[in-house]
Amino acid sequence: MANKGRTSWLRRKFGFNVLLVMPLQVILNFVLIVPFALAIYLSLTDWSPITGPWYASPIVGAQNYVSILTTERFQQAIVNTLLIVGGAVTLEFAVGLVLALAFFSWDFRGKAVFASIFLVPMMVIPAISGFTFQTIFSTQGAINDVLSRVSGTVVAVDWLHVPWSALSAVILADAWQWTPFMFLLMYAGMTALPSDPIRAARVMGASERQIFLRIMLPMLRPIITIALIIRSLEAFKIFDVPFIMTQGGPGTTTETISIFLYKFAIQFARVAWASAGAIVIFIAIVIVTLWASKPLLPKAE
Amino acid sequence: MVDSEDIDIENLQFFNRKITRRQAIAKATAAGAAIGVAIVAGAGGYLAGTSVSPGKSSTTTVTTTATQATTSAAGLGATPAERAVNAVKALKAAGKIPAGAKIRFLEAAFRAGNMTPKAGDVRTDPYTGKTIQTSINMLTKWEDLTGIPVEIDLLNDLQLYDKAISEATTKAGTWDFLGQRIDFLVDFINAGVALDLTDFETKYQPDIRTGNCQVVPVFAQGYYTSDGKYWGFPGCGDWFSYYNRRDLVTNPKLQSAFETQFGYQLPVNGPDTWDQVLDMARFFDGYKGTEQTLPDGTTSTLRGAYFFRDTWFSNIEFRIRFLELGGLLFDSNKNVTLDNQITRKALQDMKALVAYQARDAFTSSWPTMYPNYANKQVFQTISWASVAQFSASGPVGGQGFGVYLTPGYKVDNKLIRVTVLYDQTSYIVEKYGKLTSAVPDVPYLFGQWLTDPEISTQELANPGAISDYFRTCHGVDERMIGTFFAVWPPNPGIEPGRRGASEAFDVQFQALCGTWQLAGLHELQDLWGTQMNAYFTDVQDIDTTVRKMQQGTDGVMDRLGRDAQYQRWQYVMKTFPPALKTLHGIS
Repeated sequence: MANKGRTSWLRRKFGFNVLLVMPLQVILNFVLIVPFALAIYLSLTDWSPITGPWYASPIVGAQNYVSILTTERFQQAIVNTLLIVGGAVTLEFAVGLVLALAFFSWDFRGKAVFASIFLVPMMVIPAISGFTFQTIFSTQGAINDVLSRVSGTVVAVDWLHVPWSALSAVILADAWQWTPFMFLLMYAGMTALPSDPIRAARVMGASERQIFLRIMLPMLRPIITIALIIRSLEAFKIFDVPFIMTQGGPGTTTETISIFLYKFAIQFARVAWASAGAIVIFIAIVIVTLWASKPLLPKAE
Repeated sequence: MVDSEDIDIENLQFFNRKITRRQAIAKATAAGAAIGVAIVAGAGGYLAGTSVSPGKSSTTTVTTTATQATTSAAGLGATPAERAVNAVKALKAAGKIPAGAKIRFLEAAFRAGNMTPKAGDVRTDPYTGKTIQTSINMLTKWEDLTGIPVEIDLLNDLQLYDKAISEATTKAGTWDFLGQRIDFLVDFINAGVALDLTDFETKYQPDIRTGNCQVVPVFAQGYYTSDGKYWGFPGCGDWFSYYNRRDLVTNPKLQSAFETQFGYQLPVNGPDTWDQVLDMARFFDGYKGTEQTLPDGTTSTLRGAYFFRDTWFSNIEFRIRFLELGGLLFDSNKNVTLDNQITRKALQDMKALVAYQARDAFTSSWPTMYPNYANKQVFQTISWASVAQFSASGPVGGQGFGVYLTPGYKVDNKLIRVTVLYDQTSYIVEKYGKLTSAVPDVPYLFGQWLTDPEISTQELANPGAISDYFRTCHGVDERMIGTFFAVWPPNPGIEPGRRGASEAFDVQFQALCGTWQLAGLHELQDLWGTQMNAYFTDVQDIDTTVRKMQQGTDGVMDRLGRDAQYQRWQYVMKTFPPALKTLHGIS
């Protein structure tokens, strides 16, 4: 009875169900809502740690938003990021799909071992991956060494200081690391496909190509969409690899949005201005993600 | 034991209480908002109670003035180090130092070896192979003298900036004593993280500007601001000199060939101008001769130059050339003056050298550059002083390499040479440090003791080697010169019979220009560096480069206060070398 009385009191006073969600709410407040609200607030101010305390900083309205959107370097960071996302995710998807199809279609000894080996790059810390690829593409690195041996002359191309090759090197490094992720999702998707339609198509004389293009691929569409969204979102935040390989150079041709925001918010203490950039990017990502995931959402009756 | 199946879930009151999803979200949001407001209010209250903004009255509870003296400075001792130790003892005796006090010290990682070896340790010089006795552990010595331990944390020197700014924002008070670059001092002052040491200087007399501990004047400027306030202790200070293959420039056959090709004599005692540097790069690039035989018997194509073209070094070389050509950052109307022919000329000349460079010059990597030069794979370079010692142990020994003044430009038929102080560091006392908050004198006194030239000399873990440019700010102090240059090779580029490489420094002092102390310099350096790098790598043309440098710099000046920045530039101009002062009519 005493227990019942206490529960009633809690219910009367607070609503016990609210108390249950409170711990999560507290955590969310600390790690998500308050910082996010603070970022929005700061983006509307003129604050920098080198100009005084944040709460005393004047409100400048949308000035930071206008300023950052018209900043050439920010625009270039967006373009660079899109190029890296487009290049890397396309490459990862294509290679991951081909590998998954090979694993799905053929039975061979040591399949499990090979699958495990394919997953290793995904486990490497991105900073290490960046350093490794920086070494490979340096003037005295493996690429030039191989080219020198093949050509018989000393090849000393500075790959990381030529715009197109620096960008390609970053894309390759990212693709090397995350193709296994695509492989994993595609392979899991293929093994989960219902076998009846495929068998039926085969009985009816469909070629393997037709089976893949007309039956498997359409059925894989949800998982492909999810894989592309997840990888694109992750690639959009790419930082470690280009920062270590090129530090955004030559010039700012490989400077991604994350590097840009890190430099201006942390290194140059322009927190308010960079916050506006972060909010802009956040809104853009939300819109793109909602649009991209639309086909996955249940359709209204 | 209760079987879960015995529980009548449906009849439990909690589960009978039904609310709609909308109600649940509304209640959770309300609770969240209340907590959020509480957090923000709490944080705001905390920050409001402890922060200090530049130019405003402090609301902080942090103690920021020197503790009332019980003894006069003269009574504390004859040298800065003695006064520091005795002052700490006096404070202890007066009960002003809390029990368990310790100094938290954040230092650039590359300098740590200078002050933390254990007594009696030996190490092998990586270049000469000689065994060297390391110095005593200075931090242990301080603790022995005062009873106050020092805990040291190490970090990359550029990241020290981020940490200091974070400390200013969070006021976490993690460190009491910070090693920092002078370039960024203005930001630390404005952020409120640097403690104003003016009162402490008066009270304890570190003798930075006077007495027998005088710092080279151009260095000393970095520890003060234009209003005469004192902010830090002498840390590392270094600049770059020009080095080339003396064994090649003294070769009669090459001298003759050079004169035939360019119509003037090969500069034997170092080039006067950057034009000569470019001519020599052209002449020696790809030159094949017996001199190219490397120690292992292989041959390598000699490259004409090795001047880094990354963002970091490009900034240094650009500033040198810009000043030598008569460039000024501001005109008298406070307009930024980067979009002009001087900047174009400096950058175009820098780019002209790229064709004769080792390709990896785009990446500043001293471990690559030093062996490149010492193994005779490049003809000329600009580098730290230690490359001379490094080279002395190379294939041709010390005689094969010459150390010279940085080349210059002729303006109005007068040769102007400038060397910029780029890597000057200082030690500052962090205002929010835990010990600083309690008794700021102690971290201050530690700094005064550590940077006393006599103590500094003892800190040299490996005299003359790559890690020992620590304390070069005491370059006019005979004790320091004697220790620092004791193991240096004779310098054939300068008058024979004198003090070897140190002589190049003596001369170089005449061309030194002080650190560009400006607010937002970290951002400016990135701006200039990335734009230059884009030009050198053909990403953009010269006009775009110069326009972007000008626009970006204007933006920083407007944002951080053009008037104040102009005043700071005036302070920098006071450190110009004599030839530059004459050029600009500065008295």
